[in-house]
Formats: sequence, C-alpha cells, structure tokens
Amino acid sequence: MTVIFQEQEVSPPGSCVDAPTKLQIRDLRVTFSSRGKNFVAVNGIDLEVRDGEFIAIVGPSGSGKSTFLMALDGLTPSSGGEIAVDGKVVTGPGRDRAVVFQDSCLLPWRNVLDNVSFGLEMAGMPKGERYEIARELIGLAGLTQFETFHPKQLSGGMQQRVNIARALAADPQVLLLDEPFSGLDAQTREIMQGELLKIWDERKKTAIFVTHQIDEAVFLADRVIAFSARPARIAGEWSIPFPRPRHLSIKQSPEHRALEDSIWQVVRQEGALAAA
Amino acid sequence: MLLACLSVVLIVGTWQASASYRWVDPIFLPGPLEVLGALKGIVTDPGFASDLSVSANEFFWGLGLSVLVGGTLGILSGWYGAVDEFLRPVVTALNSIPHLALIPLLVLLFGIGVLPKVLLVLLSCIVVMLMNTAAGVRSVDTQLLRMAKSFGASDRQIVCAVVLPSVVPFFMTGLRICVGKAVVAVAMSELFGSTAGIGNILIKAQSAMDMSRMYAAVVLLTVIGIALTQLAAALEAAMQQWKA
Ligand SMILES: Nc1ncnc2c1ncn2[C@@H]1O[C@H](COP(=O)(O)OP(=O)(O)OP(=O)(O)O)[C@@H](O)[C@H]1O
Ligand SMILES: [Mg+2]
Repeated sequence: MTVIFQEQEVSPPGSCVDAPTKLQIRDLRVTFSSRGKNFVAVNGIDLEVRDGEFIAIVGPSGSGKSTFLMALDGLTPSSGGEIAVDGKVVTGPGRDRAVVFQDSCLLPWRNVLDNVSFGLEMAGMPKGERYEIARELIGLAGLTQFETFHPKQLSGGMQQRVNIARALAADPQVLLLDEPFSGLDAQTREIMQGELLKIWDERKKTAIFVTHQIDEAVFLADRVIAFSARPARIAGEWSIPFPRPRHLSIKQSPEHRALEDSIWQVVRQEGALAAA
Repeated sequence: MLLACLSVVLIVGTWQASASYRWVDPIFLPGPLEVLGALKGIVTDPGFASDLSVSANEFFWGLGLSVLVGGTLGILSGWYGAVDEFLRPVVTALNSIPHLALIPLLVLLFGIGVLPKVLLVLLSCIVVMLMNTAAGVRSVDTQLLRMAKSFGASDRQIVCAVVLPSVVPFFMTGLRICVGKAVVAVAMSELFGSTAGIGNILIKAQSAMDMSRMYAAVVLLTVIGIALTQLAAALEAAMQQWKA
C-alpha cells in the first residue's frame, strides 16, 4: 500500500505559530464491531492543534472523517490512543467542545433564540443570562430580526447560521464542524464561508472543519489535512499562508489554486484506493 | 366548508320532507322541528344540569385516566423495548376487543353507577393514547438526541427538552381521537344501565315512547361529540404552530 505524504513548507500564518497546544491527539483509533467482525474506521491518527488554529480535514467519502470528529467530541468511543483538550483527557462529550452538525439539528419546536441558547440551558445557566449571550451570537450571525422565528421559517443557510451560533454560544474551547455547508447551494455556500470566517475572526476558536470541498478547506483553514482511504490515516498536510482577515477574492489567486491542486491530487489518489 | 354546509342542509331537508310527506310514520321519526322543540325541553329541564354533570364526570375521569396511564405507559414502552414487549399482548387484545361488548360484563361486575362508565371510557381510549405516545417516542429524531448529548445533556434533560416535545403532536392526535371515542363510550354504557346522564335521558324517553325527546337526546350527544372533538382539534393545532 502506498503512503503518500506531502508537505509544503510555507510560512504558517502569524498568530498561532507559537500558541500553546489546545488539542492533542495521540495514535487515535476507532473500531466498530458489527456481527462479531471488527471494522477499523480510524487507524492511528496523531495530530496537535494549536490554540486558535483552524484545521480543515478533507478525504474520500467513507474515509472516517465524521467518525474522527465524533470521537473528538466523545460521542463515539475511541478504541485506542488518547485525546486531550488543554491537557485534560477526553472521556465523553463535554462543555469544552461543541459540534456543528451537517444537517442543522435544530429543535423544530423552538425559536431561534431558544435554539441558540440550548447548550447554555443544558449547562444550567439561568434564562436571563443565556438569552443575553445567545442574542449576542444571533447578532453576530446576522439573525437579530429572526430571533422569534422557528426553523421551518428559515432558509437552509439561516438554519446553518443558527447551528453555528448555537455551538459558539456554548463557548467551547474547540469547535468541531462536520460538513456544515454541504447541504447548501454553491452560492449560499460561498456566502456562508465568508460569514463563518467573519464570526471566527471575532471569536478565534480552535476549529476542526471537515469538508469535501477542497477550495473551502484552503480558503478557511490555517492547515489542511487529507485523510487516506479507510481506515483513516493522515495522507497529507498543508499550511495555508494567506493572511487574515481573508476575502473571498483570494480563491481566484494562483497560490490558492496551486494549493487546491496539490491537495486534490492526494485526495484523488486516496479516492481511487478507496474505490479499488 | 360550503360543501359541508350543503350536506347538512340536504340531510335535514330530507328529514323534514320525510316528516311532511309522511314517508316514515312520524310516531317513529318526528320532524326536525318537533325534535328541536324536544331538545329545548331537555335543556331547560331542571334535572338537566345534574344529568349533564354526571356524563361529564364519567367522560373526564375516563379520559383523564386514559391520558395519564396510557400516556405514561406509551412513553415507557416507546423508550424501553422490554416494556413494549411486556405490554404488547394486552395492547393487542384491548385493541381488538369490540369495547361495547364489554358493557354487560362491566354492569354485572360494577353495577350501574359511574364506575363502569369510567372503565368503559378507559378501555376504549387507553390503547389509543398508549400507541400514539409510543409511536411519538419512537419517532424522535436520533440526530437530535445526538445533538443534545454533544451539549452534555443528562438523560433527564434529553427527555424533557427533546423527547417529550417530539411526542406532543402524536399525543394530541391521540387525544383528539379519544375525545370522540369517550363520548360514544359514555353514551353507550349509559344506555345499558344507568340512573342519570345524557344516555339515561335517551333511554327513559324511549321507554316512555317519547320519540321526539329520544331523537333530541341523540342530536344532543352528536353535538356534544362534535363540539368536543373540534375543541381538541383546535388545541392540537395550537400546540404545534411551529410545524406550519
Ligand atoms: N456507527 C457505526 N457503526 C459501524 N460502522 C460505522 C459507523 N459509523 C461509521 N461507520 C463506518 O465507518 C466508515 C467511516 O465513516 P465516516 O462516516 O466517518 O466517513 P466520512 O469520511 O465522514 O464519509 P463522508 O465523507 O461520506 O461523510 C464508513 O465505512 C462507515 O460505514
Ligand atoms: Mg461524514
């Protein structure tokens, strides 16, 4: 089996180079057992993420990206290795991490305000306080006029903004995003990428963002990581040098295109392996 | 709405015609006007309030117990496979029995007071409530459960914030169906042996050969059934405006 590893040594973006480690993943393994047979989904991933760093993960379909993310959140138990946030070992879901799910997962009977404050409510925060925080994030997401709307009354893009605001309201140390824009049309998706960076520039959360869209990964991230075909290992890693705040126009630059190409080659090879 | 009005007008018109042209002997089927007069007689009767309150009592106790017991068991059997398996034979049996056939048995066991009526309502409604709430629990979106867990929600929080709200629409549908069933159960069990209640008015009128009054009681029961069901439907709609 070929192991592809590409590293482009470009100067990493300023702010988080010497930031302390936020998330430490050591030899992470996830195994599912079905009908007595073991099925390895994630096979020994080592990753160190600095405070405030934005990581994007790409890789072929079924390679184990979602599984990896769910293991980081503690929703899926790992079968080996270790995950630590600020040096504290992860044993299950916790308030130091929050997930932005692919389908917005909003509670349909709750309005925007009550959806955004959901995490804080589960944490036992009194109503007045959690509404104050939620309103701030609703403002940041540009949804102030829609505070009393129910999910059914919102567009897909707006629902995803609520989804992101809900995760940020919980004030996690690490934000885990699983293809949050994959259900949106290309145009809304671009707008949302810009919106996400705007919000993220404001909050500077450590983020792990899973996506199929390579241009999205390059545009958003400080570092892009490509997963191999299942079982997932790291097949490639790229530092993304563009300064922040980034504007959507950088997607047209030759540097951006070159990075996309180089990542695409690795992902395509892995995809071919997955299909073989 | 227009068509619904038309069909009512048609039925009442045919009824009036059959009285006017004596298609049916008015001794057996008096015209709408006589029945309306008799209805006024029933409602203004000094004993009416107590008859109404007896029936209402049977209705609310029966329905209330069904909602409470059926709803709770429904939630449990929707959530725990073991409870579902344990209850299934009883549920299947209760669902297949023609409830009205149980009336003689209930009269034999519990007499002709309020208790057998409450029990009949309970028997006809509890399974509907149970099956509806259980279906509601089973239909809870597993993605939402996972989302709640990822925010560190405890089991109790998940039940209160995710499971119960998802069950509400199913519960309300069950309630609406049961309101109609409960009215029928109260009326039927009163016909088979009672000392008071709307059904008792009907059966007394029949033995007195007062046909107008008997039909008036039937009309009254129908109107009450429709009104209560409409009320439940309105409540059902009001409680899930977020679905629109
Ligand atoms: N709960 C589970 N039980 C058994 N197998 C699972 C489970 N969840 C995921 N898998 C398997 O693990 C592998 C990785 O799945 P995963 O969803 O992580 O892939 P992915 O990289 O997110 O794919 P995609 O890009 O299509 O979302 C798949 O082969 C999948 O069938
Ligand atoms: Mg996935």
